[in-house]
Amino acid sequence: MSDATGPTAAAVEVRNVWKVFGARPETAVEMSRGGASRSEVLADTGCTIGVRDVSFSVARGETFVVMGLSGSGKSTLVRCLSRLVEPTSGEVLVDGEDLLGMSPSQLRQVRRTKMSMVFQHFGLFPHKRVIDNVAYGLEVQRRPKHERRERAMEVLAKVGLTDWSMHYPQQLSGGMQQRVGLARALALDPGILLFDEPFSALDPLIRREMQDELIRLQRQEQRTIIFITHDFAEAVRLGDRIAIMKDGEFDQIGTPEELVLNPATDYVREFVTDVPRERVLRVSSVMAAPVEGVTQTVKASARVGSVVASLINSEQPIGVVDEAGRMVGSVDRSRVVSFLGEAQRDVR
Amino acid sequence: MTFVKQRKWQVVGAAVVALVVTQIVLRGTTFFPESWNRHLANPVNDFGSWVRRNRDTNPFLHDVLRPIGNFVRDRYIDIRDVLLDLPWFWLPLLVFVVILRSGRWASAGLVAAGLLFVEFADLHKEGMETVALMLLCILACIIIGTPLGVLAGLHPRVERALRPVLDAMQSLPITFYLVPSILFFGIGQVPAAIATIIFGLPPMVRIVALGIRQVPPASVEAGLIFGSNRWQLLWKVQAPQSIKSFVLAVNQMIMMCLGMVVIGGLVGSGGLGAELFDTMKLRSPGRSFLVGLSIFSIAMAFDRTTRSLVDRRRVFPVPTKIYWGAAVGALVGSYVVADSAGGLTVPWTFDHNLVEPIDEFIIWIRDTFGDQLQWINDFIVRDVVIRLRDLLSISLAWPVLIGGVVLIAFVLRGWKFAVFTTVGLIGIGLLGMWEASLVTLAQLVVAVLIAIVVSVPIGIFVGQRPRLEAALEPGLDALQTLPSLIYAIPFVMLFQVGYVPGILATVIYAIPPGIRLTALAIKQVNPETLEAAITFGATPRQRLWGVHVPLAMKGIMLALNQVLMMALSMVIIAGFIGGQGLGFKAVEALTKPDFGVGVESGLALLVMAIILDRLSDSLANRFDVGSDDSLEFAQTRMKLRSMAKARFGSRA
Repeated sequence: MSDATGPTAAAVEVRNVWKVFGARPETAVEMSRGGASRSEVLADTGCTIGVRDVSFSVARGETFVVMGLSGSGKSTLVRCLSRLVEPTSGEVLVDGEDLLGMSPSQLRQVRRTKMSMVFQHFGLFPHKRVIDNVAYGLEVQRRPKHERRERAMEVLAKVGLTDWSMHYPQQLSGGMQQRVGLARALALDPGILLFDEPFSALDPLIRREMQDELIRLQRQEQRTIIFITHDFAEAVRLGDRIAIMKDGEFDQIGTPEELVLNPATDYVREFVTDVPRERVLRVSSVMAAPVEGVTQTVKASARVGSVVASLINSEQPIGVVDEAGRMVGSVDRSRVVSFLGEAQRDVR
Repeated sequence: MTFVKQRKWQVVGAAVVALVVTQIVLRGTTFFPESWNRHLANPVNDFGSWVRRNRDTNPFLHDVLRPIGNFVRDRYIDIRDVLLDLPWFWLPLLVFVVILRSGRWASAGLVAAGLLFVEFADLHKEGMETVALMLLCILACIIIGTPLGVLAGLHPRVERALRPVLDAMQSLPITFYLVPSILFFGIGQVPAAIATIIFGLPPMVRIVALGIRQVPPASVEAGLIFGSNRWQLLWKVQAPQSIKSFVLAVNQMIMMCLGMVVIGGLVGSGGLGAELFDTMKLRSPGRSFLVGLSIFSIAMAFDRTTRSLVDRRRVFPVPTKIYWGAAVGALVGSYVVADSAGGLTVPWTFDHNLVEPIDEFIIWIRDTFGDQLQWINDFIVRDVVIRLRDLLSISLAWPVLIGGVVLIAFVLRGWKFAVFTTVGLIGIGLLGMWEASLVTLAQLVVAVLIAIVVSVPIGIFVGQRPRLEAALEPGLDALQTLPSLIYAIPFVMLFQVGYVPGILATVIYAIPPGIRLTALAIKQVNPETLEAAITFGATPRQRLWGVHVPLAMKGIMLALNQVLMMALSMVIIAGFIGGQGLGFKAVEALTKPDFGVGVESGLALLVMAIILDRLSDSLANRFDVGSDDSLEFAQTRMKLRSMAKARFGSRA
């Protein structure tokens, strides 16, 4: 399918997006295409390359995580997806329509109906009550007040903030403020949610709680999520697929297992060595052929870590079943122990 | 680097020798030759006559400016008539309920009492005229300044285009506002209003733009991502979050306008300003006191009312609707009661009850301490100012004086500024303002020295005592919000008009920022450095002179710069109460009116101000001991600087 505006199966498809900051973006793109490094481009043209030729697609209902350190261009990328930052070139297809070709009013229409965003520093409106923050998206659509407040209350209930609706954001804790941010994004019932490091300003316990909350919500209503983070553990917990971003480019895109088992670059390897493998790899990747007479079973999609306790208590192998309950393999103590030993060796 | 430095000092050494030689050769040459005067006044006055002749025929004058002037005058009359018709107690009552809503009883009470004082002083008419002119200017500034400020805040390009214009506007002496206004609009309320409006715009535009820019980017992005259009973003996200800056902008603008409106009394705008000028001329201390206190009261009323709109201490425990309902009820009720009792105009005034005792008190002081006052007067005038003036004008040959200043400019700021200084100083000579400028300089130097000697030690003392500083803060604040003319009143009462009241008023005016900046600099000294000094057993005296003062030197030098700016802003006021020099020329130009002299003296004052400001600023930077300016310091400094710049214009 060569037609760029034609329909695609993906909810979001990004093709060759570039973002160059500075006065001479075309020259900078050309230089970078010719193999010049970021710093060479900066020295020659005074332009900074934020995003360099990034392409990926996200399926409906998928959680796609972009992981990178500060300065990697990940925040710029997510802003290109919503045109908060105007990409220098490329295509961003949302439900098959190119966002970059849209007029301001078409773009507003997409923002009002299809996509929403949660911000790192919450971006709440300090002059509005929690309920009116949540209802903001409906307010700019000029929906009647009672209707938008009703909807806001529904969403606030989902994130457990019913009692706080009439407070001002500053009166809430960081974690609660980000729940408001989440509720505000959910209020428009968007198919696509963009998250720009939403939990990195929160302390670790709250962060974990919020991740669980997101996983729970995502289980209830499958949305397409593009999630930016600098925390690899968070990426592994949440992501169906993860893209590792460095210097404005993607080093590797893959499922957590793929990244852990086959890191494409040294940069990716550095991240995955710190990750406990049993928490990432699924039983399916260590199982042996099915054996007869197992008393316990485990799903193939479960993490290796989740069978360790059962294997310690049982001399018997454990059967592995697929989603439909068919026996597809088995794991026993020695397999898992040797797998963990390997992980240990990798870490050194 | 060292080579360049060495060369620089060789140049300086050679220049010093050259100056000494020149002085010896030119001994006896005194003033800048009068025959070199370019008489800039002539073309300016010719233009003035041309404007007068063509008022009814020139399309621009007749079809553009005249309708503007008429419009301004008509609106002024509308507002004034409404205010004059109000029952005398309504304005105090209204201001009281507005301020009370912010939960500040004391402030509300004092401000209302101040406005009642205006009524009891029998200054209802003058007070309302001033308030009307103020309201007109405030409304105009808000209507013109807000959109400009919003545009500048939203679009960096607009901001960049406006900045040089605003900078220039804020550094011009008030003659540049008043003289053209009189030229085009004659005398009366109209030129005063127009000058005030133009004068109040820069701070308004600046602070509104700043407020818009300060809205957190995350908030703006959130607004966009939920599909706001441009207007929705502005009205629902950016405007509500910059409302505090907006009120602050209005407050700043109002305080500047007030200074200008009072000065407007000089060009026939009437009101309390004119009354103050009259009573000071009549040498009636009691009457001046009444008028001065009335201006003070109105200044406080405007200031506290606008501040109360954003600075809520705690929400008054009554729902909004009920509160304002009760307020309207009180206004109406008081009207009905007063009407039935026949008391819609002030039933009682101080008359001479207050004026005469003050007059007598002042006369008593003059009689009792006459010798001492005379001695102070003579000492300052004969032994200091005149000597300094003679040193500058008679002992030193004028080329040597120019050379000396240029040399200082070269050492402190480099050759570019030296060139500017040369051109500027020769320019002052060519304007025929050489002698007047030296007289002004002599007064300035004396006033600044006294102010520094007083404010720096106080600042050092206060800076080490946070509680004392907090206690002084509101007082210093109030002093800095007053129209500067007020400062002159007590000194005019005690001394005859002449140099002394102007100098002393300048000193008082310049002291608060001097204290503030010095105290701030002392406070900024890193506590760990101090602890280190204590650990090594330094005595308090050693700590003060060995740690505090050296580390705070930059701040103290900034205080010097600030004091200078404040003093410059008093030059014209000093001119009104008998100080000679540029200030006197400016007052003369405004009252006659003589446009030519106005432009000449204004230009000379501007050149002087730029040179003195830049030089003292560089002096402060020399004392930078590597301690970085904290944010608070930078902010306070910026605030004070903009205030001083503002005043240099408005209250100059």
